Amino acid sequence: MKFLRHTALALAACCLTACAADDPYEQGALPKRHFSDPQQREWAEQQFAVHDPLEGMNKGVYKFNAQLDRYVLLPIVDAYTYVTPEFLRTRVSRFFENVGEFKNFTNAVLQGSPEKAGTTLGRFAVNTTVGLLGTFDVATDWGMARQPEDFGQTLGVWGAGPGPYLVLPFFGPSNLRDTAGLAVDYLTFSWAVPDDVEDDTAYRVAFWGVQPLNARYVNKFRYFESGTPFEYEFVRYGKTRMREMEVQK
Amino acid sequence: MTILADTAPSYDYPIQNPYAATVITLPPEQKVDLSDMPDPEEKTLVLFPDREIPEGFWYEEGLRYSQLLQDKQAPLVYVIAGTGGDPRASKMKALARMLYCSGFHVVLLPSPTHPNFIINASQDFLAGRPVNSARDLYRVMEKIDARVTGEVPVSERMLTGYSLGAMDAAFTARLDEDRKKLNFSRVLLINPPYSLASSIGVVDRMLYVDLPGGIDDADHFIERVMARLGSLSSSGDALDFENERLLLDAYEQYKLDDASLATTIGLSFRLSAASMVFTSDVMSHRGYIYPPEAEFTTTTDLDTVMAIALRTSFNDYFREYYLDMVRESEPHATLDSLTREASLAHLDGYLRNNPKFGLITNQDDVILAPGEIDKLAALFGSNARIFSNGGHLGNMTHPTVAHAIVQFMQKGGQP
Repeated sequence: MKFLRHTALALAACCLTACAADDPYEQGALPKRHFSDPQQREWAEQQFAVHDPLEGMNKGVYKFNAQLDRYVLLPIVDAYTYVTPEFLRTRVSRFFENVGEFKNFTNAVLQGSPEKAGTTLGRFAVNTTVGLLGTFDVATDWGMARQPEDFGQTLGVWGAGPGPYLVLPFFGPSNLRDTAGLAVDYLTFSWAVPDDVEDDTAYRVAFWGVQPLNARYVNKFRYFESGTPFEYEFVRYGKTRMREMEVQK
Repeated sequence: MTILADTAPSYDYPIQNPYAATVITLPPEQKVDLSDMPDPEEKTLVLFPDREIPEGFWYEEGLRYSQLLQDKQAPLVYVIAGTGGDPRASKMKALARMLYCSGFHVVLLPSPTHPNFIINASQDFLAGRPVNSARDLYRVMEKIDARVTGEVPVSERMLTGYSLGAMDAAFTARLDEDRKKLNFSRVLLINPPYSLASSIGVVDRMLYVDLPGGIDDADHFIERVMARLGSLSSSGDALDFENERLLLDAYEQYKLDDASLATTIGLSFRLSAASMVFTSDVMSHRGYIYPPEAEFTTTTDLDTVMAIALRTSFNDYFREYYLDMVRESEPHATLDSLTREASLAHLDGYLRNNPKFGLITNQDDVILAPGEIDKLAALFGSNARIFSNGGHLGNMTHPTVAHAIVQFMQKGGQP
């Protein structure tokens, strides 16, 4: 036990030193424009601030994700876009949106929102039938708007704060609460899917191949196209604010 | 295709408020239809192979430009982006497509104020000085020209740009008269500033209209605007970015007033300035806002530097950085002399009644100081086309304006 505790402490200490971002102000002379008053510095940093104690590690993962995007994901997305017509790609996107109604429904229920749960159930019924297994979103045209909910939001609705900012490999910007939410949503879904379906090859291809491909295809974000060297900071701020709004909605 | 029509479509640009026009541009269904035109092809050009680029800019692998080339001989138009813009900007793509579908080869270049240009194409990292930018741009264009002519025949060269890119185009054309390598036959300025310093002043003041405390209140301002936009969304999404009408709806439902629109414009310019100043300073190691001896890597903590950068206006940059930098090679330079130099008035003798030049702008362009629209009109005389409304570039994809742009490139005279 003692050995385990020591190892954990050592790991944590190592992580903290390696994880904190490098402070450029500790390297030699100060620049001409700087905050001479430490209080003013602290106050100014509150703008666009997000709790990010693992910034060094997060920035490393951000770079990893950008490279993964460039060398692996985007070439696949480009090939996909090249070989399939847009009509088909849209059907694929709609199909996975419809599958996602399961997550939206369970979380609407967990948030105690019969209104969202009702709309979501109605959407699923309409789109699965009239919308040909979800490949057409008829429900939106019929006035039932999509209610995207996830377990991260559910935790937020019940008062959980976001916790530290986290950049996850492949998934991208998140935070501690939403990472836990992601895991719970995944486990709930795979619990609901019967074992013999889960072992089916077609299912595996769809959920471990086509779904991530579609996820990258629908996300229009491209790394380092913002034209600002502060992209990490603005993405962090924007993502955090968006999640706050989604929890409130 | 309406653009190619011989008679100009009538001008019915709908937004009378210049700030709203600048931010919203046009309802999607009123934009000139370029949807079946191809996407420009992205290219990379390395100009200074021995240049040391800090690891923090690891993703910078050369100047990023775009091209759309015809498969036969045609005139080639170079397009220069506005402040902080690059070839991926929607305005740049729209210009490329309208010119391409009218039979031109097109090359899109980033603004010399864009970090990608500063890092890869700027000789001295001094962004924002039109004479220096012209030299850097000319070097870039000569290299690209050699590449393009290796691929497809080019009959003649033309130049255009919008906003600061239009001023850059004027200075580049002036330089071309001495160098005589590209020999631009036509140059079109779209919504240029008249004087860089006065436009900078105007835009900088806009930031404070709805933000009296300046950047210190930016957080609350953004939250407020996002909340108002969010309240419009009927779906469960917090903010529907796919909705092209989002801003228009917000404006029509009085969720965005004049003050917040002006501040939005000011804020977006300030972000461009912050990115420009940071990049220039890191590359030149001059220690203006970034510690001069500090390394810049992927894992560098930028919170404090960003806080400083966002509190640095274009004006601060000119007084505290640019002036010092110019003085090293030109000891007699003063703020006054540099202000006068960065203006179309400085090129008066060259521009006035020069049939090579055309001007397209708007009576209510928000980056112009009072009286400057008349100075522009006088400078370009019969080759000026001034629309009654449209703000700063809000109407550029309106069919009448697109028609004027293409007409000038094809025939010259009044756009």
